[in-house]
Order: sequence, then C-alpha cells, then structure tokens
Amino acid sequence: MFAIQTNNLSRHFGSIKAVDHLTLNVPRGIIFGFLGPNGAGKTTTINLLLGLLEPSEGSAKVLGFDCSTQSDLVRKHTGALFEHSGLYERLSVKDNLDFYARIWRLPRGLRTSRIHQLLNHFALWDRRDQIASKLSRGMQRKLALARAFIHQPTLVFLDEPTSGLDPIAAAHLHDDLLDFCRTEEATVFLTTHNLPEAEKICSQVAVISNGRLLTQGSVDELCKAKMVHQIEVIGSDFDDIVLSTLASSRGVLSVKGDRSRLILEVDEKADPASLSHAIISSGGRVEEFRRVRSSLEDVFLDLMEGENDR
Amino acid sequence: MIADVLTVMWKEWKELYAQYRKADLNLLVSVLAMVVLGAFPALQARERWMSSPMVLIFSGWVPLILVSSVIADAFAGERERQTLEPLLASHLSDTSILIGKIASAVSYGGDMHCSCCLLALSPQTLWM
Repeated sequence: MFAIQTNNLSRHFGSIKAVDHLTLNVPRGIIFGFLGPNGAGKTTTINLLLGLLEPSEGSAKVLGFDCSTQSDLVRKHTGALFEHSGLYERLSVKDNLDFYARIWRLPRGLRTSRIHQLLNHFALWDRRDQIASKLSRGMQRKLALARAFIHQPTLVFLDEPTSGLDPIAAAHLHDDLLDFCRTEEATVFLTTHNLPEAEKICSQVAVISNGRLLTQGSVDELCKAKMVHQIEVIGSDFDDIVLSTLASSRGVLSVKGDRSRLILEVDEKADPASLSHAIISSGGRVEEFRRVRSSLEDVFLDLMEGENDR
Repeated sequence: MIADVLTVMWKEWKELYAQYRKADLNLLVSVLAMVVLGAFPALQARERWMSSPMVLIFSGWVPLILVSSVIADAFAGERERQTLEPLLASHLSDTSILIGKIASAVSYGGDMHCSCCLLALSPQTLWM
C-alpha cells in the first residue's frame, strides 16, 4: 500500500499551472525526496496533499484518505514542517512542544515523556526553558522538526528542512532525521533543491519542474539510467595527439583536461578497454582509469536542461 | 471542540503573559497604562467618580481598546510570524482557532479591566 497516491493532481492559480497533472506513488516507510527548482510546485503539492488547498483537477490520497473530502483525517495522521519554522518565539522551547502536544490531545503523562524524549533526542533538553527566539537557526529547525514528530505521525511532510542552515548544522539534522525515522518507522516526504542532501538520505526521489513530474525512481536507478557517463584518467603526457585520438574514438562525446588528468564524457557505445589502449598507443601514460558515477545532481541538471530546451 | 478552544486559549495566554516574565519595557508600559486608565481618572474625579457616568464609559472603552488590539495581533501576528501554516496543518478546526483567540483576548481585556477598576477603587476607598 502506498503512503501517497496522486492521480493527475493539478492546481492552477489563474493562468499559472503550479501543479500540472501530477501522478505520483510514494511507498510507505521510506524517505522520499521531492526535488525541483524554486517555483517548481513542491510546496503547493504539500499544501494539496495536506488538504490546505483544493485541487483544480485530479485527486490525491494520503494514507488511504482523500485529500479533498477527508483532509481532517489526513492532517490527524500526518506531521508537517514548513519552509519557515513557525515557532512561537515568545514561548519557551518546552511550551512550543507542549502546545502542539495539547493540540494532538496527548494525555498529560505521555505529553511529558514525549517532550522529554524529543528534546533529549534533538539535544535541546538543556535549553527547554529558553525562549525559542534565543535559539540558533539550527536549533530552531530541530525544535520545529521535533514538533512535527510530537504525535508520532505515520507520515511527515518536510519542506526544505535544511534551508538556511550551515553545512555542519545540516549534516547534524540529516543524521537526526535518519535516526529518528528509523526509530519511529515513519514515511517522510521531503522537498528540497539540495541534491547532495537528497542523494544522501532519500531512498526514492521524484523530480518536478513547472508543476510537471519529470522522473521518479530510486537514486541508483536514476543515476544508472543517465545516458552520458564520465571516465576520469590520471597519468602523464596527455598531449594533443592523445586528445585527438580520444576525441575520434567510438562513443566519446567530449574530452576535457590537462596533461595529467582527463575527463571523458562517453555514451554507452564506448569501450573503456579500447580507450585505455588508445591513450597508451598515442604515447600517454595511464596511472588510474575509472568510471565516474553520475550523481543525482548530474541527473537533475540533465533533466532541467531538457526541460529548458522544450 | 471545547478542548481545542481551551488549548488555543492556553497558548494565547502563555504568549500574552510571557511578556511580563521579565521586568522590561512591556511591563513598564502595561503598569503605566493601568495607572493612567485606572488610578488617574479616579484621582481627578475624587468622590464624584463612583456616581459619574464616566465609570460606564470607562468600563466600556478600556476593555474594547485592549481586546481589539490583542485580537488584531492574534491574527495578523500569527500570519506575520509564519506560525499560522503549521497551526492550519494540525487537526485544529478554523472555528476553534477563531473562538480560542477571541475568548483569550476577551478574557485578557477583562483581566486588565478588573485590574484598572481595582486601581480606581483604591483611591476612592482612601477618601471614604
């Protein structure tokens, strides 16, 4: 059973198609990355899935509940962290969580123990009486994340969870998130345009642009499916003869580099053994010859390039 | 529904009174307002204060001003501080948020008004 299923989901704002016939299936129990450039329709999709916006066309189901007619039930079983932390800055760290625990009607005993557990997990227990505005941005983000998990939801929507954080704070947040999802067995729907982040923590990703779904699959599948691959060659004596020999070899699309390092862009027709042989026979010395794995960033940029060409 | 309204009221009260936790400018302004609105008119009118129609006007407009300013901040502030989005994404209904905010603002206005009345009565008691 899927945690999220959308069928031709669309939302128009006047002539702008924020979400355009989006059909998506998100399996349960995974961290799902929803990627796209700014203004691609990621946040609008979350708002549609939470029932905060009505779709112009199509339908969506979250945890089996219809997002239009059963939005109360959707929100009851899900948690959300939006792009802005949305903390009550005049309230203490503990009161921020206490308020949401009361909203979800956790009994007093459970409320206390859950707040204690979450604050300990996110290393905020020592700051429980500090007002939220005095926390660093990273800590505020952690507090907002703890708030999203307070009622042990089955599915959590995280909209740009690491936006505005420095790399160290972002790495800590990733670790916390991964660790926490494992413990809570929750499904996470994460939107981001931070591709290394998505590659590191997501099991599956979908890429959208201008509201349209461009691709969906596991990170490995998408990287393997990329048509253009790279080969890195380390060595010496890579002169013009070597470069021209390589450029005319079968399957080689481009050759870049200097006398000691070359980057070859090749397609599936290229044979690494014959390329290596071509370099040696042209007078070059090869010390290292390796295929560079395409990153999610390469896949994403290719997709965006294709989208711009349309 | 009632539980949700009480939860919203709990938060609103916490936020309203959080500003009095420290002896800062907010506290000073509030005390000054209570003195100006409570004790000052009573001191001016002296023994006529108890029978003056000003009491009725005073009883009406002080809470009205307080409540309207607090309600405005409760709604606009929530949007401005971007706390409305997570609140709407919770399972609280729009009605309970609305009633909770209005009820807390009204009770805050009532609370401040009572404080002003007590301040107004204390000089009267001294003259009797």
